[in-house]
Amino acid sequence: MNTMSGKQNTVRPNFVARIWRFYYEGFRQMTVGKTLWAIILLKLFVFFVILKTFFFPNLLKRDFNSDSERAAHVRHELTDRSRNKSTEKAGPYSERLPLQTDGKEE
Amino acid sequence: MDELMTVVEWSRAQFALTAIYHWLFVPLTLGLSVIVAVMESIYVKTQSEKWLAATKFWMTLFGINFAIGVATGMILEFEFGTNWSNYSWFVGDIFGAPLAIEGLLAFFMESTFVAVMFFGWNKVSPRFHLAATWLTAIGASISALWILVANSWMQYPVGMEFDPAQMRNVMDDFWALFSGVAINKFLHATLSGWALSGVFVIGVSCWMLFKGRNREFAVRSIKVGAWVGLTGLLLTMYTGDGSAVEVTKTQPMKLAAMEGLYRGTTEQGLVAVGMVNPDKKWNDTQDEYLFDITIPYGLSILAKHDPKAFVPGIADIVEGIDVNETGDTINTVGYAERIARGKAAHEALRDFDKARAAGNLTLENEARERLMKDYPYFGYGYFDSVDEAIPPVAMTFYSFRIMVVLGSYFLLFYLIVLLSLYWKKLPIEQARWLQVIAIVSVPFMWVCSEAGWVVAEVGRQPWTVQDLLPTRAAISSIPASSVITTFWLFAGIFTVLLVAEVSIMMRQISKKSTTNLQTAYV
Repeated sequence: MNTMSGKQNTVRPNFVARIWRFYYEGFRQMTVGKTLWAIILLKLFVFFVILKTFFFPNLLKRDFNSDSERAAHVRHELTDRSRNKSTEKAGPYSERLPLQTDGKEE
Repeated sequence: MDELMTVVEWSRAQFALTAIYHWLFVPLTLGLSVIVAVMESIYVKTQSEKWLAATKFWMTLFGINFAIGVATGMILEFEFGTNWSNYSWFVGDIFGAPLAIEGLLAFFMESTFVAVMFFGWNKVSPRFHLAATWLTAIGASISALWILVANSWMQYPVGMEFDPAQMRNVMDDFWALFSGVAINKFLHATLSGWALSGVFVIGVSCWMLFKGRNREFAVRSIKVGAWVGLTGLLLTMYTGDGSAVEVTKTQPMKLAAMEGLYRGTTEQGLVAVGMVNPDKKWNDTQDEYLFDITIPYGLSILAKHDPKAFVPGIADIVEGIDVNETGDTINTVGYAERIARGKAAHEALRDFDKARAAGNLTLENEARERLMKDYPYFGYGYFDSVDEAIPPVAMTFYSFRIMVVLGSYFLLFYLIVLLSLYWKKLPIEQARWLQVIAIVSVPFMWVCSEAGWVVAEVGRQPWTVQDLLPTRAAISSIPASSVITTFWLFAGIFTVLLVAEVSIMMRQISKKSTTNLQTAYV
């Protein structure tokens, strides 16, 4: 309602602004949620920045430049007899995998 | 220990560790979200502040579990790329589509509707808020669907064609992924979350009763927890039966291992309680069990819904023996033949590779044809003895029994709790013995739930993809030391997270239980 003495602000914030305020006020009013969010952010940092970067490289993406190279590598890995040789002892818990073979077939 | 363990076993152990930790949080998310949604539905219908208080209390615990569980599943995807690179390439776009959909869905649904759940009180209408709560519950289940579809494909690989040029399984029928195996597994795993969450709610509420706090609130919560939990448990049992029928068809060796069965018969009994003979081999004449108490016809009914049906044992499957519905012995493909055909498939793949490198299209096509003829047995080509194709019988046998025995216990538990809610002669508010049982039962529900996954994943060994890729071939060529390092890293991180969740949860329960939970709090 407009009066001579002043103008009341009736402009509603736009949709994006309202979404932003919803989340902002929600986070601000959290109690136990603040601790949980701290845990979430710390966890995401540890998982995605430290673990993923230093301990869990995607080997095929890192070590090969194209899909055909990756396919060739996997084909070699899956068909290399010396790599996939079974051990003398039977049973799934006695498998021994030679490390870093030169890929020569027997 | 380091000398004995190999990169395969450490990678398996690491994956098992991270999967078990992940599954500590997931079922409570799946089930507690439903319980909270039911409570909020009652609030919206009755406009009773008591139900609003109940909704907010359990929603806080849901939020704690949800937050601690967030991203624990991502580690499994990291491991695919590092420890299991051959596997992750081999499964190709079969996994890519479901996991991508799951990631997008989880992100958008949960960031939107979980936010409304927690931030939307007094900001949106009660009905809108209720819709957000239900959509959070549904969204969590839909997320689970895609993961379980991917896992089901590992157990029953369908809807694809192998491309030797790409060395990948290329999806040619998306809807084939939603096989009977997948649907049963999804329902069984998701509904088990309802059963677990019901026990959790009852346990926490009974603790309040035991402490003499907020009795009316506790009884109100037990009612919802018990009905949702019992519904979930009954449907879990029903879909468990469905899963057994599917496993009989698609993974008969897993079923035989679950039962410790080496030689099957018609009218096959089910071992209710027993001990497998740890020295038993598939091709010797030793007794299968050290002792057993058997339910007559039980396994025939479980596996084929026919008390007279033949259920093959491990030795029958290895030798390629089966009995059809008319009682005639038929030959299936025995393991010796599978291994021979698997090796032929490997030879064909090598020939394909050579022909392709030489640019000889005729030989390439001929090799491809030979490969595809024997491709269903590709994985068997890695074995030199049939023993390598048999899963760990004892672990599969005992974990199956742990799951079933505990599941049966919880059925009785739910029935007694419901009786105590409605039968004046056994009021739960005064039955301290029942309150103690409920509190003590909570961790056993997690044991039951995890045991189910042990059956599913140990029973599928030695396969990462049933019949096509054993773990030995699926593994990356990396030093065992890197896997050992990350194994202990995870053990430490996840233990810290678990301790954090349990302590935050217990602190909230203890703190809130001393306030008046009859009225809503913010």
